[in-house]
Amino acid sequence: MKQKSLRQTVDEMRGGKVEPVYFLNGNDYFLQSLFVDEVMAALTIDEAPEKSYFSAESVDYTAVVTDLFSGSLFGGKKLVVLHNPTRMSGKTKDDFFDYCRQPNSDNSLIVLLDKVDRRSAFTKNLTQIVPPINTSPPFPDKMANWIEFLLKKNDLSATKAARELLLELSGDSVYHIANEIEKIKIGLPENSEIEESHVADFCGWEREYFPWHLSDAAGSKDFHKSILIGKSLLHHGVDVASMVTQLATLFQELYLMSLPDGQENDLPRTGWLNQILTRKLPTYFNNFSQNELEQIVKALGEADRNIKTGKGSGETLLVPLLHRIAVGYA
Amino acid sequence: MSYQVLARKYRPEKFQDVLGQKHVTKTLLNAFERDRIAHAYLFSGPRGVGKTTTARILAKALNCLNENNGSPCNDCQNCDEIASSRSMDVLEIDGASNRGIDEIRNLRELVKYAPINAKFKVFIIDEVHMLTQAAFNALLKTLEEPPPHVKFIFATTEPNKVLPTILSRCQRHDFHRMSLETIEKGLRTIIEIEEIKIEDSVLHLIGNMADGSMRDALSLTDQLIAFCGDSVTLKAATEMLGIIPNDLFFSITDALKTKDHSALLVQLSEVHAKGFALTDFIGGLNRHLLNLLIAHGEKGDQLLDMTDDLKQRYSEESRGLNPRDLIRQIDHVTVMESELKYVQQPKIYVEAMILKLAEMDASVNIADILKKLSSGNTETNYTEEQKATEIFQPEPQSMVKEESSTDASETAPEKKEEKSSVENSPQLEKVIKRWEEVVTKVSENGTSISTFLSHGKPIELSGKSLTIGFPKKYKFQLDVLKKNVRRIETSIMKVLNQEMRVEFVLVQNEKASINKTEETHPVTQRMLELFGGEILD
Repeated sequence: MKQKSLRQTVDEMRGGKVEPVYFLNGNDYFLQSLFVDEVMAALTIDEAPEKSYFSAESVDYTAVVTDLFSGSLFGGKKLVVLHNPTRMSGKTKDDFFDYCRQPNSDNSLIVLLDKVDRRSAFTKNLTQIVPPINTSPPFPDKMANWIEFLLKKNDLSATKAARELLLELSGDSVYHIANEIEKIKIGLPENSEIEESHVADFCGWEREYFPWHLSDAAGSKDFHKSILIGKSLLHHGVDVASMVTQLATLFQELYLMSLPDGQENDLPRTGWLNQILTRKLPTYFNNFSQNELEQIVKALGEADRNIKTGKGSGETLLVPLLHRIAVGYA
Repeated sequence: MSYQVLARKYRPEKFQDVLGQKHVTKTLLNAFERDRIAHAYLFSGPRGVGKTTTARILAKALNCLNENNGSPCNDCQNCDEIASSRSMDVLEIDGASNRGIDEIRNLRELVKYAPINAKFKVFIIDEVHMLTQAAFNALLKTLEEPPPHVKFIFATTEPNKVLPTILSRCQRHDFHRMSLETIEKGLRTIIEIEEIKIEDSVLHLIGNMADGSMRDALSLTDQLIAFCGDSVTLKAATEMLGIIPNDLFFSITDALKTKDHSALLVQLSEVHAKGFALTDFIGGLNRHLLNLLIAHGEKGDQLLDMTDDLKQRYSEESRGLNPRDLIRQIDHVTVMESELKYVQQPKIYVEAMILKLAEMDASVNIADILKKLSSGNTETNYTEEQKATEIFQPEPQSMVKEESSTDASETAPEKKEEKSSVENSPQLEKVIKRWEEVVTKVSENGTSISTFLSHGKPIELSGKSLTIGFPKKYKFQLDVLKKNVRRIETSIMKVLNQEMRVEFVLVQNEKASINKTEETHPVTQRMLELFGGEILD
């Protein structure tokens, strides 16, 4: 699937090349609105184009598509933003894809699809016509650049420790970082440098984690981070049983690595770890002795039994388990 | 005039009056000063910390006729109407009871109209997380392109349940739990105005129980005033509140540390005498031990969700404790928690189990014991500090090896036993070698019998008596085989040309296994030894 980068497209727009249809795939609101603003700016010559925003709820898609096809003799350009139009069906849907193939050059259409699902028919069809632009939250290594960009945009400066803390606390999306920087900017006296304490004061919003983050922290033997992520996952409604299952998958892999010939490929592998964890397996492996791995796998088995027999749940089960893994084995 | 509860009577009227949320109020005041008011705000945080109050103050500040750098005058018509919930331009909606798409569609209709006699139309949606997904979606377009005269303020205790698309369109402010000091200070100011005498220790108790919530603290104070009148003593307060104070759990852990049985029993009888539910007590104790375990780690107190004062107390208390002991105690109390509902005499059970908890020996690391043994010193006199710090150090590789060698010696008798069964007589070896032929011969008389027989293995030959061992899971098949023993003996006679009397016995799975790969593969053997289980076909 050919993709266009956000930066490349924005550069093209600034150079005067504006496409009649854009397809943004990913749920980072900041990136989405940044892009829409850029399109608006590129389309504004004498006056700003008329912008219409349609969200998924109760939109008359037929009217929207008809409106897109029609040009105006006297009016200016129109910018139509369609947010998650996946409920479109039947003839309207066919007409919509026809429009995307042969768009009206008077209008500009931006399709925003929050969910990245390459298997969905809508995404597949649209991707064949319009190359998607990735607006998912960037990977952690790119997030530092976004912090830099946002600080510059707001005429702010921050200490290295403050930047690191900002990344740690709110690095799950560019929008999250932008929100925190905006608050800090308003809260602090003008022209003051952002320090670590300012970030700690203003950023009460916990970042969002996924269960694989817990496996990563446990594999890195980081107790503090494990508890932080474990509690956050529980708070966000992630079942402790699924966390135990994910941890068990990681530690089974590590245990298999510790066995004779374990480094080779002849032993069974679960294949259920994501690429980040798989890549870091050798690093995790160095953190544990074989004896520790055996005890951890046993403790995970015991935890699984306790969950299933109702002898433990939530934090009462998770915290001692993470302590056993990250600090000392059972 | 009818009585008004303290929480309503002393509800802050200005940003400056909001306690413990300076990071939010200061930002909002600055936003007014710098003219950077967002079109939608989301206030999140625990209950009773000032979210709705701040939302109302913000609504007043936005519409006040004499607003001064974000401070409402609280005197003008607009401020008055907003304070008494009569304003046509400030709508406070309870998200829990107006959660459907129809209510939000109505709201969208209202958004279109300009305010009647104020600058902005302000929509305060409390408990916004209760809205349905369809309702959130309905709100999305309005939030994306709000008319300039509209401001939204959402308040929630559970921001994680708010749709991310809504979250991302709001400026989010997170309210913190209030510190014990802030609550005590706030309460002191109020009781001075109310001319009520409350002992400092009572204020401390209320502050602790309020768990960072000023509204809870004021409700508790209201209850105490109603119960005790104008003078509230600690004794009356503890009697009346009926909530297990944190101090009790700290006293229990202190008594556990010193193995002070009488102190423990006194504490337990106090729990009983005050009418606290034992399930609540055990649940609270488990939570307390968990907090101690978390606080023990480096910067562990930062992970605790409580007031700063309590965090500090946990941090200090956990210093002298061994985390391994804490884990064992948590395991023990978790078992108590699940068993408590089934016991006939809960009080006796809890007393016995708590005393057992006190009698638990301190944990020591096997690696340390081995180290001592190898150096010839058999006494393990650990200081508390040693236990707490050294016990979780990763053991050196040499120690791991030693430990595994100890493991090997521990399992030696088992291995010996296996060995003796492996050293078979030549006669038995002959039978084992030709056993498959025997099974094939039996199949001529009936396939099911031969299939059952194939799960067994000759394990002993004494004179004419041949013992065939079967894994325990084949108990049922054994009964079938016993009924057909004559046919099997005949087949043996035909194959081995030897008369034998066959006996069937159940043995351990591994001994009876005839699958050579399973028998010999060291990985499989080790897995079975460590984790138990059985090999499926």
